Amino acid sequence: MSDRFLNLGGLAMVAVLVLIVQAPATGQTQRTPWGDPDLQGVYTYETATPMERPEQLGDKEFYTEAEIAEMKAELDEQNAARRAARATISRILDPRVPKTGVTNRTSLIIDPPNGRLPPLTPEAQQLQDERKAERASRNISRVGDGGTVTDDLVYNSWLDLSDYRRCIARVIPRHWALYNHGIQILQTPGYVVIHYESMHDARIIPLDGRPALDASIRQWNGSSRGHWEGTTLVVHMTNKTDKQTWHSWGTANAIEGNTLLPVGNMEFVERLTRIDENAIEYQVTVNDPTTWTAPWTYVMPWRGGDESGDEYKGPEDLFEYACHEGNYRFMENTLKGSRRMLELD
Amino acid sequence: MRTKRLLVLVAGVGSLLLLTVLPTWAHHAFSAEFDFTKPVQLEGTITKVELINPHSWFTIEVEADDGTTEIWEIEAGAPNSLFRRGFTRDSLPVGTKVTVRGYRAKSGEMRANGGNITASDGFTIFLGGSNPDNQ
Repeated sequence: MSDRFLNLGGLAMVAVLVLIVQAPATGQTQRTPWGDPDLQGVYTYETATPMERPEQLGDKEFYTEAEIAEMKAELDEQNAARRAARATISRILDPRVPKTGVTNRTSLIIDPPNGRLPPLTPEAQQLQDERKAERASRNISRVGDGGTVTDDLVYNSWLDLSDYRRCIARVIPRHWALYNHGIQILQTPGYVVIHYESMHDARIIPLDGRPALDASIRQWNGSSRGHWEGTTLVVHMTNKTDKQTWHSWGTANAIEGNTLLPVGNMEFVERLTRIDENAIEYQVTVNDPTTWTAPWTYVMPWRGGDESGDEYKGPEDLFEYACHEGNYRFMENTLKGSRRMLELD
Repeated sequence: MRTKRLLVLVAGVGSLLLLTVLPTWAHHAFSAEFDFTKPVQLEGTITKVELINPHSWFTIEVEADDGTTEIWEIEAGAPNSLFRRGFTRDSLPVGTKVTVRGYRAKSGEMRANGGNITASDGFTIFLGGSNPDNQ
């Protein structure tokens, strides 16, 4: 395995990779019958591109075609091995086998130019450190069967579990998912609806210039207001709740999660532009001076039709995801498991 | 070695898996619920199929060596995910004899996170979910 692969931070482990084509806007702008740019369709936001660029790549924004070819060859080799190892799998499509290829963008983040998140503010860093310390204090090590030492987080309450896993809400804007990563855009005169398969969230975004909700009103999915700038839909999202943290499984009180940065002060400017008949370019600028020392921007494609990797060609490919439906077992397993681990400690 | 229920306790498997970067995207943290130092292989008969969110569950009856019947519950991926792999409600009907590989619940109960499930006719499907073999 080459250093480049290692540097991609686990790219080879990504379940499904989607080819991202740097497609320029071409041809006539598609319009709705009432004259708005037409963004409607079913898409997937799945991507193999990491949010942050490996540091050693510096300001290198894209891989060359030769580098892409080399990576694809390595992936093909690995996948052949995986198929061989999974010889018992039959009559199914193994979802872990990349269907197409790899991206030529080195990171989703395009600003700052190094493709990496800006430094945290001192206050946010302190908060992050405190929560990581809390998490560490909940960790116990045990020697499992076979002499293997494992670490276990101890969950004392359902409140130790994140909103993500409790099926309460998942952060919008979305930027990655293994499954249920379908999106449908619907338009009517005066509104755009973005429907997310995961959690079956539907954002109904007014375009009439009305103000955002009062600042005292906080919602899991915030308040979204849209307008057109040329053929681009621009959506300002505010009024998020501090019960949720960016961009992880975390809630404000949960001990789990990658980052534990409350989203309440975060403001998002989303820009959606059709780049070809099957794809939307989705660009998001994140701004929160209480969390990061500078705004930052990421961009990713939402791909549909044949380029979606066979999964999201039309509305019939979106399924209801009723997350709460059977989630009690997960809670039982986690809390009972922690009690058992404490007994063994 | 037990013929009907085989608990595979392989030294080194856990440490190998520890080297795997557990992802942040799985719905449920595998390690919060299941013990990857306790891989299991179960042979039994399907008695219930629950294609529910966020993860599906298969219930199987396993005959232990002492003749008693054990009821195991096996966690699988979301119905959406299984469907996209070609699984339908008719793929593994009640009564199907199956072999399941997975990892036992930390609680010690007869629950496991499923990896592969194989029917007696050879039909095999990867159950997905938060199983570390999904990496």
